[in-house]
Amino acid sequence: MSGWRTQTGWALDRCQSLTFTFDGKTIPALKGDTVASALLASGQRIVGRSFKYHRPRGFWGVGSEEPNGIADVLGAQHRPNVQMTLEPAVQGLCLQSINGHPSAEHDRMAFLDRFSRFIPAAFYYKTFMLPDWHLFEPRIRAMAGLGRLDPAAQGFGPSVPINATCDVLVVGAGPAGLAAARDAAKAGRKVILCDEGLRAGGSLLYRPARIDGQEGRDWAAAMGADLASLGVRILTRTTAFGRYDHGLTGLAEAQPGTAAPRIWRVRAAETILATGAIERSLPFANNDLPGVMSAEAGLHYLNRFGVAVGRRVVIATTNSSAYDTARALQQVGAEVTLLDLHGRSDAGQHPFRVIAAQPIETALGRRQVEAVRLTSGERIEADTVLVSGGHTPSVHLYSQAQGRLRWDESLQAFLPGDPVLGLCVIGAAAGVFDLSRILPGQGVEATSHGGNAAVWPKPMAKGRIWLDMQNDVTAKDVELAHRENLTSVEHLKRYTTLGMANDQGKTSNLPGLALMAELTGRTIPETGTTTYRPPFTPVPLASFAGLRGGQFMNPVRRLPLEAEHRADGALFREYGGWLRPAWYGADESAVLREAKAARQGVGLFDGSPLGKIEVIGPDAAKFLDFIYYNTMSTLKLERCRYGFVLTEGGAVYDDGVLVRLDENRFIVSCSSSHVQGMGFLLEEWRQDSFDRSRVVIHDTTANYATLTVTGPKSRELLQAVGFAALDDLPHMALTFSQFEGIEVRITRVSFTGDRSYELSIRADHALGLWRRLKEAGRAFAAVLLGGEALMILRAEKGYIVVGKDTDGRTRPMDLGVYGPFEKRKGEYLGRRSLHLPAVADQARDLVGLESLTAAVLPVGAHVVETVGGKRRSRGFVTTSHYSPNLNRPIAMGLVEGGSTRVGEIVTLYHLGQQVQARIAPVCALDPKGRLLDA
Amino acid sequence: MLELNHVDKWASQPEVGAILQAAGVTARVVDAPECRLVSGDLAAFSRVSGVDLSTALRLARDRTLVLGRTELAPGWHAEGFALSDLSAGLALVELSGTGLADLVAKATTADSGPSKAITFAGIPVVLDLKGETLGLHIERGLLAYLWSWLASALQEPSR
Repeated sequence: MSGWRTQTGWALDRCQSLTFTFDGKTIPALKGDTVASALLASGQRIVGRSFKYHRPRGFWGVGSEEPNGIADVLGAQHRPNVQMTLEPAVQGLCLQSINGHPSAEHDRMAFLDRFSRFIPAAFYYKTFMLPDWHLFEPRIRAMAGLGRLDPAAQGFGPSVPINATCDVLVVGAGPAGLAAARDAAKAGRKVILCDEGLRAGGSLLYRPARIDGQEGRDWAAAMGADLASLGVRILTRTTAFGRYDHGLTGLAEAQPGTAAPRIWRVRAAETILATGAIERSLPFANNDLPGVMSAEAGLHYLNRFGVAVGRRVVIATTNSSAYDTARALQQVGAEVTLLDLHGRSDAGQHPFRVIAAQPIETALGRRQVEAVRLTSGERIEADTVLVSGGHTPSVHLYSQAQGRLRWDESLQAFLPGDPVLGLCVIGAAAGVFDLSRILPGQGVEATSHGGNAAVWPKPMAKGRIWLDMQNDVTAKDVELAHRENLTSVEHLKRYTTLGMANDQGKTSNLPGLALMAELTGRTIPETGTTTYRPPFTPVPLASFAGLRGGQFMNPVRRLPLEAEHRADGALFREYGGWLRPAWYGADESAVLREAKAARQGVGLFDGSPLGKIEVIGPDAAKFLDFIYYNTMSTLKLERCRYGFVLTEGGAVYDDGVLVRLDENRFIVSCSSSHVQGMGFLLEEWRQDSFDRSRVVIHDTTANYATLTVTGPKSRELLQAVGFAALDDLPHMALTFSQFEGIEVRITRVSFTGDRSYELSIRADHALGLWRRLKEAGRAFAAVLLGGEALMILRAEKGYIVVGKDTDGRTRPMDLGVYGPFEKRKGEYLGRRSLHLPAVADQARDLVGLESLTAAVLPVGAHVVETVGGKRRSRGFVTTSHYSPNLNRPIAMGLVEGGSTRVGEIVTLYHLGQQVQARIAPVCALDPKGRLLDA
Repeated sequence: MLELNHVDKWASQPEVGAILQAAGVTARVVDAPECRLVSGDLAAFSRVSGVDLSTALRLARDRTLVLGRTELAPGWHAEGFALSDLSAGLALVELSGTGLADLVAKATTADSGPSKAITFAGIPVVLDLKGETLGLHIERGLLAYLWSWLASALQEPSR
């Protein structure tokens, strides 16, 4: 009837029993069981429902090739789409089958299978169109996918990836892999060996064999110990999921609990693939019924896990490896009939009935196998059908390494072709199935594999012959693709979805393309395979992220004076990658107070993140002439000049002040959010187009704190602190001074529009200066200025913030700066693009926008015009604040043709509301700039 | 309405002297030494300054980080090199212990090579290996991040 527990099964500890639940049912298990082996032992046949037709499905295999046995782990340990064949059974595990509601056994949607004629492959390309396919989309999406993600769940815990180098990486710890690892380790090489199974050993864990007088399993265990003593790192439950450039292989090592599998990035001088081979199914009608399984799996469950998968077993095979399965099942009392499709009729030699050369026509049964009917017409009662259509070598990693496969006619398999540098393939993965050939000279006694003949699905066969069990693709679907002329193997895949699910066609690709080959009159190698891509089995994104999440995702940089600002009651926000004070005080009303006080008296602002990239060398001036839109070589010593740096496309990339310290030394004072980008830009052009021995780029931003003193009383405050001789310092000039013996660079530069000084001092001496400024500032009612207030002050003056008042299309001319474009000769970054006519299309000028009411205009609102009944955007609001110094709202925006439309009323559209505004000059306060010298 | 203060989202900056011990590794925040960034003709720099280049931290073919004081002024030197002060710009974390190799395997893909400038824990770092102690020179603004990263990487359950 179904599976049952036997006395065999070396992997079990019969003294330790446990239970877990599956679809609400309590399932008994023993320590050493996988979820699959325990379910089979308990007689559970239906473990899931298929994706499209909701057909009942049972386990097919025993490892990662398993297409049907997938479940979601519920509860605190939630993980969706777990392969039950590789999941150890643990106490209290709570599993839910996929695609069956309320359970796999009783599924409400099972009726869909009756309409299968109407929903063949690619039906969705021809249906759900009228009146509008969006109507159907939510329901179809809800039905898609395999498992279900619990949005309330914690998700995977982080596992930090490990980077490892070694001399030899061996993938697969079966007999071939173990032997190769030992040879390499004995030769003194550093070896890493990995295997996706719970333990090393591969086929030796279940297939009878004797090696050097030992049981195969014992030989494998001894090898493991030997390898460990030779210093080989052995990783189990570790899948080599992908092969990448320069000898890099990605491994995913399962972790306990809910931690994500840990990624190993292994760079090996040599990689040996001993990845084995996957057993093939046989094509017959209803070959997806629960109870139809791989013969290899049948043997594995019995010998290792002590589970006989059925009581009345029919075994259909093209090769002799399945005889081991037949013998073993016979020995535990199952009734076995073996169909030897190769036609060997040494029937008398076996304790079970052998029928030669009679393939199965169809499996019979409604929810599981009840009988089979042979092509001869004979009906055999059975509860289980174990099939072996030969083995397909697992050549995925070889192919990912751009290895070219070659078709082997006798093995009916794609094998590795020409060697790939640094990679070799051995054992079953290379088409060597006989143990005596894999371990020559070690007295191997094992069943010979005896051929790999395949039985491919034939055109126009009767009944539903299943190829891809995950995506519910049958032989008829392949014939449909052929009729619709989608005959290339890549089209076949995408049209029918054959091989596109979790299992990536491990058991379905080859039969599918073999059928297509026959339909199109080509050979299998002529038809070819689809591209092999990583990962071999699914790897959670959390594994690749490692620690990079939460506070480790794009961490902010911290100010040298952070503790001091905290003590002063600052509320911090994140600005351009830095954690900075937004305002000082309990609530946001501080912002308007700070902005007003700074313009009336003096404000103190921590501008430490301001870029200070030094450009040094005899060619520095020439270099900067190229980098900047504006001519910079004419900048005098100890003077500053404001300029733009463009992208190669002509858009404004950054703005900032260039400071000239001496003939050969400049400081690029770029936006604090652009320091890394500017640093790369400068270094890239230095290396690409200039003599590296005559100009160098040194980013010294972190070395200095930059303290800004701004406002009409700024000069007096600085004089009170002891910085004399500032009377003579003109706007946009530099001088040097000292504070307690430490050099202070003072630039008179203004981002607020008021008289303003930026003091740069070594970051480790900043605290003393800042405190001195605060102390002296008390006499002037100095206010601590946060980022929000600063944004208002600069907005009142129409000073831009790149990336806020500009976007990826904004050219310097859009900001009113035409001079260099019209007058400069010689090359500068972005120049060529500025002369392209297409770049001038749909230019938007930066303009001011005045609200017609007391309401602040919405930032991001579009300036709209109705054209032909449709609303069209002509720009948008980039900056908008209430100005405490003008006592009214102010705003800036990018508007098409804006500079010629000053005074015009325009309509703004935002979140369904319309509001009007007047285009105004971009500078709302003190257009003549008198406050700079106040 | 209580406004979220973003400083509460991030771990605080460790002081000089802070120690972290886990998984066979001891991490310490130590006083960063004076240092200068030098680019250009490094041989000329060595001649003029008397600094032995093998004691400096080579970052690129034409760039090195020199620890300690020199008499040379910042800026361009006619012999063919430029010098800038970075003494206050870097923080220094020292790592030691039996678990160091495992930690380094988690932190970086870099193999031993001529440049001491690598990516470690996702940020640019200048390595200084002195005997069994590994020094990490990092931009001072990223110290809090690195310290938190080390704590998490050392505290995750080992295999």
